[in-house]
Amino acid sequence: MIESLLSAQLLFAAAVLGALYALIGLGLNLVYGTMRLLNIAHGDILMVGAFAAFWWFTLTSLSPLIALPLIAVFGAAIGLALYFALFRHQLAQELDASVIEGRSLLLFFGVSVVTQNVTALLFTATPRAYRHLDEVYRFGDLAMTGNRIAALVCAVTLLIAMLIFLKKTLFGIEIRALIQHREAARIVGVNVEKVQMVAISIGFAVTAIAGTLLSMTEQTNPFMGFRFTIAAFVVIIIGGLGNIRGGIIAGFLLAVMEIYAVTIFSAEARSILIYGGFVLAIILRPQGLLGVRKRA
Amino acid sequence: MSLLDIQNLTKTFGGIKALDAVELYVEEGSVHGLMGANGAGKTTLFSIVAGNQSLTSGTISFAGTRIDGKRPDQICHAGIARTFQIVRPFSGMTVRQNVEIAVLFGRKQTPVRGEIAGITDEILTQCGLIGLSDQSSGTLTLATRKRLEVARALGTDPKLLMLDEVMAGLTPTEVDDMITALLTLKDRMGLTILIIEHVMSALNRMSDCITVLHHGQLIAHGTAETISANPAIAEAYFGTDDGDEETD
Amino acid sequence: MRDTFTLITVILAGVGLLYFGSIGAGPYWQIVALNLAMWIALTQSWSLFSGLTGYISLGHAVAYGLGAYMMATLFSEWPIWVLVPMGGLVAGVFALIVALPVLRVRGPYFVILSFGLSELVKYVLLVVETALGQSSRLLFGAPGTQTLLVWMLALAAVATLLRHVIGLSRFGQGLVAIREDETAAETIGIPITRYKVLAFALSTVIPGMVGAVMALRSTYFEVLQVFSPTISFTIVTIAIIGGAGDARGPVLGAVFLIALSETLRGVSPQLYLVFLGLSLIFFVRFVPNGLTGLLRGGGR
Repeated sequence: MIESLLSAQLLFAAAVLGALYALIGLGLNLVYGTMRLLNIAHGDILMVGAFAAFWWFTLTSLSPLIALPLIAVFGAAIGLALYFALFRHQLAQELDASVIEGRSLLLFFGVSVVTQNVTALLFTATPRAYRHLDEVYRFGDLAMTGNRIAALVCAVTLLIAMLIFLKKTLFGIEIRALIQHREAARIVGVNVEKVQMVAISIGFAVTAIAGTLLSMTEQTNPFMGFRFTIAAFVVIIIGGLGNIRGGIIAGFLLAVMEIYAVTIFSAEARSILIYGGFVLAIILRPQGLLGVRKRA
Repeated sequence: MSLLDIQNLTKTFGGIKALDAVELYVEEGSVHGLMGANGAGKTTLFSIVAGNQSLTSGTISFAGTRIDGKRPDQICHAGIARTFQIVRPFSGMTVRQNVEIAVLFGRKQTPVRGEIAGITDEILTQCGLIGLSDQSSGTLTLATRKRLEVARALGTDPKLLMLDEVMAGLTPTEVDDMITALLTLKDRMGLTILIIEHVMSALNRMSDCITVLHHGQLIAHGTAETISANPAIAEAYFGTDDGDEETD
Repeated sequence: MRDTFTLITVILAGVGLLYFGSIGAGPYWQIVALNLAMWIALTQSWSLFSGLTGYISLGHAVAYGLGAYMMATLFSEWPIWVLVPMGGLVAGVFALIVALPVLRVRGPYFVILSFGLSELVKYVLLVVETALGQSSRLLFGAPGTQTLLVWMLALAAVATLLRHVIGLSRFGQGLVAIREDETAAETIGIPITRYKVLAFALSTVIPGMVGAVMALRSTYFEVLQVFSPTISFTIVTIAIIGGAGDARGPVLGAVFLIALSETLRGVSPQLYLVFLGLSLIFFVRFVPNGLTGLLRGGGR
């Protein structure tokens, strides 16, 4: 039993899922950390990315990996559109954080319902899937499909790229400054509005990419997003709200727990684990389990 | 017997001692001043007495009964009211409603329906707020909000009124008005007052005695004259020779 | 007091109109009246807690679901007039049990927590049902729409009256103070924890009973349907659109919803949801105090 638990197969599955969770956690952290927006439609952006990949492949027969930059731009555009339509005005008023959080939650809830049902109207609720890169590669006991390897490689590359971006580039540093202390960032001359736009673009783009990667290995349907929204929130709560590195670690942690829970118990156990973990995480430490951050 | 009896009060946050074995006795009917530099632990002391924060060790007695460990609403019913350093009016309510709700909930015995308006009006008049009764409290000036904070505290019919920097941000004229108002209220309502202040002139005029805190410890206690004359305190408090007051 | 008297008159008139009107107009309209009454009952109860304290619950489906579950499992054992109140009781007891840990969390975290809690209960019950060997339950011999309509109108009337009375009471004023500033409220003598727990539990009782009644609508019961997040979402949307400041809001909001639903649902349920979502967005963004806020001239 122990050998099978430690099997390379399970570890690989956890790695792939973990990289995806880390990505969507990163996307949510960027949006929440800089603007205190509680994006409860986060998983639906992932769904949009997944559908975009599906239609790209179906219509062009080309790999969705080629379309990644396009889909990223598409995701960013959605983020910016929502920013201008719904949030720019409120954020400019510099209201109390809890008011922004509360209103954004309700607004995004509406966005989520609209997105899911517009997609269902356009494409019906039938799940879609496509076959791409599904040749199996074997290393001893480990069997990996090409698409999972590709997903893992792309996700990890993107994560590393994001970490470098946040550490070394000006925009990245400004984003981190805004997350850490909004007032201080403004005082030292950060153009808050511009940085917010960059943050939401990147946050949504990253999430859409995660959706594309996921679509290679899982079925797509308009209502698939819920589960990932919850996972994203668990990740950022465990990792610490706005804590980029904490979120990445938490993403892998959650994936490990999920994969092993399903293996040891059952598929239903996964939902109970995620929602149970979610409930406990919020009750015990709304400010995050991995470290306390200073809030603006 | 003192009205408020604090013995050996210690409060630690992680590794930091915000309060270190502090002793404080407030005599009934007196005005007791509490001073110290920012971070000395004064507001922490208030929060602990009022029940908003827990203490690490020590005892607090009020009118002979232990109150440490009790909830803020229980301590309010026992007869202690406090104001907050940064005022917290119920900004969605009118001036009158702010005081009214304190009258409704703050007393051990809820007043009869018919009497509430009368009690509220009385307090509003004594605090000079009756003319603003129906104004939304979110639109008031700072000085008026401070008066409302006091009025709301008075609504709970306290024996001990704890004021936290109620003069901060007021002009010298407003400070004078506040001092007069407070002393008058004290006499009329038979209050005991414990007051944190940075405005030294106010403390000196009002207090029967003053306790000085520094880094969570009690470093001096005495009358206003004794305290002002003590050079060690001036040094700890002001840090420089020319006696500039710290701005908040 | 005159206010309350007027309200009671209006409620009785409304109930009478809905009941006799729909009986006359036919079975389709009875169902419309049933749904209208249901949403009023649910949202008034929700507003009692969330409207007054500001703790927005996005998980009220859990109360509805628990009541429905109670009815579905014990339908063959006990009579309906026992099971409906029991549905409310079960929901209320559940609320009391989870209240203390759950209400420690404030603001938007409470919102997502309430949502997560509802989902958690759903998945736990799914596992329980599988373990019991049940995938869905059948209810034979349930009463007809007319009887259910009577029940639901009664629940809507009681919920509206309750919301109104509590809004005017000392308890209600304490809850509003809690919404304004919990720390200050506690300092002036309001027992905030006791009040929050009480309001929370109270707000789940009628939804529990509503769930129990609605379980009788279809002849089969499924966990996934009754613990649906759509129910929670619709309640909040009705409250936002109608305004949660007093007892009129949920009525206005529910009427809006039923109008939208009757117009669009036949065309496509997804289209209906799209418009519902757009309405929520529009109102939060531009009319945050809802329709009653507009009536009052945009003020509080």
